Amino acid sequence: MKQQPVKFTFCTRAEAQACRALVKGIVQVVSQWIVRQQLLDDLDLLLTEACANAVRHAYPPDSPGCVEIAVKLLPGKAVVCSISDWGEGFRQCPLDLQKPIPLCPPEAESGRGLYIISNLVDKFAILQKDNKNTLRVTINLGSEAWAASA
Amino acid sequence: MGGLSVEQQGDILHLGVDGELTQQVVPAIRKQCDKLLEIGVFTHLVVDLSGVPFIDSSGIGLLVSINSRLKGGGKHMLLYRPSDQAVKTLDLVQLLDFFTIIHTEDELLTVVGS
Amino acid sequence: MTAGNEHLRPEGVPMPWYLEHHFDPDFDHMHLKPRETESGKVDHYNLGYAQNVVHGQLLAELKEVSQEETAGLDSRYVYEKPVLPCGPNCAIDPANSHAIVAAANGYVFYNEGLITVKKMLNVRRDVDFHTGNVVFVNDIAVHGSVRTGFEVHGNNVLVKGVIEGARIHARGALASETGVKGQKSAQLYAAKAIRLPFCENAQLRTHGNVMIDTSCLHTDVYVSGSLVVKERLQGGTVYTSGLVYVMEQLGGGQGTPTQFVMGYDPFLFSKLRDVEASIKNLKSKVDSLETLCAKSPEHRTEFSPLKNEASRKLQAMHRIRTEIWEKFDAQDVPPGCRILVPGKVRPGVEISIGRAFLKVNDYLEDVRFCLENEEIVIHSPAVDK
Repeated sequence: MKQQPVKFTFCTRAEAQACRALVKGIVQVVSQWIVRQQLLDDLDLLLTEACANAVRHAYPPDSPGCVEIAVKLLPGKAVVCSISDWGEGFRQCPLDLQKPIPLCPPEAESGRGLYIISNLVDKFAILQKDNKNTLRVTINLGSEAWAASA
Repeated sequence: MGGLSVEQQGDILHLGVDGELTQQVVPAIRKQCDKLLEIGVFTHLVVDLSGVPFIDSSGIGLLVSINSRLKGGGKHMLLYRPSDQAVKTLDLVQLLDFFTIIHTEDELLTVVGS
Repeated sequence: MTAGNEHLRPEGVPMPWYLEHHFDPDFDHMHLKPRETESGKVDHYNLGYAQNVVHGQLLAELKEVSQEETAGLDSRYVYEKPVLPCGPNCAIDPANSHAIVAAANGYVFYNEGLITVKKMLNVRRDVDFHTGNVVFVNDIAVHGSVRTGFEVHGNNVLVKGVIEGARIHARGALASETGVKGQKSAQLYAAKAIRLPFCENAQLRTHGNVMIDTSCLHTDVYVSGSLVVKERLQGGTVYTSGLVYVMEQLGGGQGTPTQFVMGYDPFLFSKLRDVEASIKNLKSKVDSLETLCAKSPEHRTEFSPLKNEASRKLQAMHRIRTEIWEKFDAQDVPPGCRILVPGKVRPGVEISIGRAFLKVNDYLEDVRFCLENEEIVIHSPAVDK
């Protein structure tokens, strides 16, 4: 039986605590589909890093806007996560996605977030449409990672 | 939300972190650490991460910052009993060799003693 | 109130409060509209029927605003006092007394002026083009039918009407009060159990047990636990490593093949079926690409990479098929694997338990089929009294 994709979309404020609470809740929901704990941990980390990016850069500090997290589950195949904001996006720090995202030096006190995300996923894309900025990542998961319904 | 516990044994300052080490709590913990590092008299700082189930790049940045500051003052920082998630994340950003990581009390006594 | 705003506040007039929502407070599930997808197509199947929220998610928060700012805000949510409209399954955020968070997984809406999270989603109509597919983080009750082509995903799922050619995925149990008329396309999955009054022309899969209160006709069943059918089981194939109990009649005669594949993990069989289908498709694709490559050097240049990729995938599928068969070989038939029929068994029923096979050629009554010494043996009565 080939299952159709299942998509959940959630919104919260672009603020550290709100985002972290949402990510934990999302991972708990996804754990009903994905049984491999390591993959759930990876998902937890990459969503947290993506949200932290939005919290830090998307909006002015005193007026955080909305962060949207959409998780699309393709049972037996992949998980696609889209983290969106309606703020600055990546305009201030454009990325060249043709090249791997470099790792900052060990002594650097920040700047590891995107590197972490890019190394936990199989595909990484940045989309902009109207005012919506989306970081879309795909993790390919073989059937053994899914609950046996797949 | 996490908390900090502090205990000094001779020249060793033990800093126990409780809870997730993420963007949410890092600024407050950084402030507390700044005060401790200013006034503390110690040779080794042991950061006990056994109570930290989750660390992100903000938490790692904090650890790097403390480590750099201590190194500059001729002091040593040790990460004690990081969780599997913390070890995996440190490995991902190639910092496993950057820090001194201790997993057992015997190891700790050996390293600090030497 | 920040110091910077003091010059805006006349003496004695309190600053108003604005409730900022992190969900759509005006969401109306009765008037959903299809949305444009990123590819520009219109999606008539996914209308966002429920506003899903998860435990701990921030739902709304109060902010102090100036009188001037209120002009641009929705006046329904401008208050004189900071009182949070916290309803059932919501809680005040322990870290922020001006914020409401969800205290459970569910859907969020306004009920009698309070922000409420409900853990059970009641769909009080058919699941069809008016609702779109229903995807929910907790339990679902569909008070109507689930129409052909639509999907329902939830924890425990109850359908009061008919389940047509739909897909239902229950992370807990699935039950129907009317039954399944699957039109050969219904695919129902429940992790824990399936209970139906009637089922025809569908595919059922569960890691638990299946109970059919009347008849199960022309349905493929993959069940890790037991299958109980209180009237007739006729047509289709049952894959199970557990017990099958059919009370009144098993089989529909020689013209209606009824098959049992027992003693192995049924989900391995399901995976095997998918792998076989993939092998067939990939082989056909490789053959077509080989034909194209043979046309000319230019064709070969263009289509060789695709052919090589398809060949690699085909080899991978062959490896997976071999691994599955090795797993079958390694499995022992569980001792409880048998078929009990207190009623009639009609000729034409084919049973395999482990490596043993039996085709029923006679009319039988009150019998049980079990594996003994690598053979399927028929005993009577079905159940020892």
